[in-house]
Amino acid sequence: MTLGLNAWAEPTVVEPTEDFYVLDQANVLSDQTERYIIENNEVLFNGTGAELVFVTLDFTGATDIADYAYALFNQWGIGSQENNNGVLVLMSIGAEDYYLLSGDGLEGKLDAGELDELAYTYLEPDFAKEDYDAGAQKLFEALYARVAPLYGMDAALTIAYGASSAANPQTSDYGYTQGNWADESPAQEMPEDIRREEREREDEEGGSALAVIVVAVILLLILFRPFRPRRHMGGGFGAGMFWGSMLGRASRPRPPRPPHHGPAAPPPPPRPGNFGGFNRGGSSRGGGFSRGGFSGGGRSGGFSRGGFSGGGRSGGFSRGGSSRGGGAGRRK
Amino acid sequence: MRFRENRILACFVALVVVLVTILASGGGRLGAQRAAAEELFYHGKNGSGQCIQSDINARLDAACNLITVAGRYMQSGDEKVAALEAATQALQSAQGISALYEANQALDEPTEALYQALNALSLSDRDESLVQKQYVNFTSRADSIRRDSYNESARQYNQERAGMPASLIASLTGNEPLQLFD
Repeated sequence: MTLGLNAWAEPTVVEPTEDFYVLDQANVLSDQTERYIIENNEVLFNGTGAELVFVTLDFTGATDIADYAYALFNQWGIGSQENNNGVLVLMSIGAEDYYLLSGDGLEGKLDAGELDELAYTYLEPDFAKEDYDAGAQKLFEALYARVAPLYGMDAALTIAYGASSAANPQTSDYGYTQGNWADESPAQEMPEDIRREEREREDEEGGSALAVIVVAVILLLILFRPFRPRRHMGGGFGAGMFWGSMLGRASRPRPPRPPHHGPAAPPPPPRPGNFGGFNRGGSSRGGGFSRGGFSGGGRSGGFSRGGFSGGGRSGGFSRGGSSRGGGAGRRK
Repeated sequence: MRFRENRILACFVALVVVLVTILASGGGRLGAQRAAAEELFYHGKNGSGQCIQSDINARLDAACNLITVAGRYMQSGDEKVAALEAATQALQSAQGISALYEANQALDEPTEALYQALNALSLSDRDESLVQKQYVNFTSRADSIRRDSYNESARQYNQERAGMPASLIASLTGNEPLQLFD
């Protein structure tokens, strides 16, 4: 078993269907089981934000099933943003393998050991007999019974297997918008917390550079004020004069001229029309602080969190859960 | 020449002020970045508590729980049990991120060995379930550690720190490189 830290590259995963809760690409689930999972999930999501998503594939290609499950979970954004309580059941039929993964919000409530036990008890017996439909149905029921009570909801499924939603008014109108993924804008919106972090990082960088630039400009302006050809009014470090002229007051009184014995001195050149003694067009170079040298760098992580979060919103929950990984696979 | 009219002195003072501002600003920025990366390791994103440190703690717990169950079925002083006990003690006394990495890695082999040994015994149903759960939790946390964003954040910080003038500012402001968890 390889438990070392290897570089991980995010694989390309399948996209969700309109119904989101079931993707039966391997075509091993009956329509009845699919509707059963979808409609009970709708009730669960409205009440708790939890989502129990079942995906069947033939293979996961060159990607390890755990890596595939991790990427799919985070790209789909399984579970609500508020509770981060999604569960993914990924069945790779051709590889005779499966993997269960839960959202970060279920850590401590439904850990990998429990997922393993649930899978071994409810899915494995039928999976080994290649009765994937029966195994998925039983596992779904077990997961529902385990997850719903965590949020104060009844463990009993609302819609019985084989019953339709039309016969059950509870699901007829929750105001739940499943979302048509095909119509979703291709530009997935980042969750608010990531957008805020990026804004804060940009503000921080800008603030630091601005502080240095402002200090440097002020000092340079103090040093290189317009040259005054008066012996007692040189362009030294006259901070007091600088602030006085900034406020628009008259300059400090000039000392009396010494008596002269030659031709009259030419009148001083008129002061520029600037207010406050600023040298218009003067340089405002920063103090050598190169903004590029402290760039914040790109965001960490290769997946777009809540990548498909635009679609589901009801009962106060919006889709966009995430997982740190660490699920449970089929026992070898 | 009066103090306030000494242009050379003024330039020097201005230069010092600019340098101090750059140090304070740049050093503060690097320091914040370093602290944010370290925070990821010990406390997780936004202080969530889901981090490499918590994963290591969970693995330690799982290993110790296996030892507890093994105590009911295996002889005192069994070499597989002793090996895992030594590894858990080493992890608990590890200081620093690099040492934690080594000690965490060193848990794998003795844990796997004890797990296999327990599986070969006739355990009660309850203990069989307990052993399996602990083992899965132990291995699943390794997966979470592998995907954690700490290393990436630490590398970003170290890379920025290595540039100029960042490396000079970092040295002057005490912002040392971060150890990676690998």
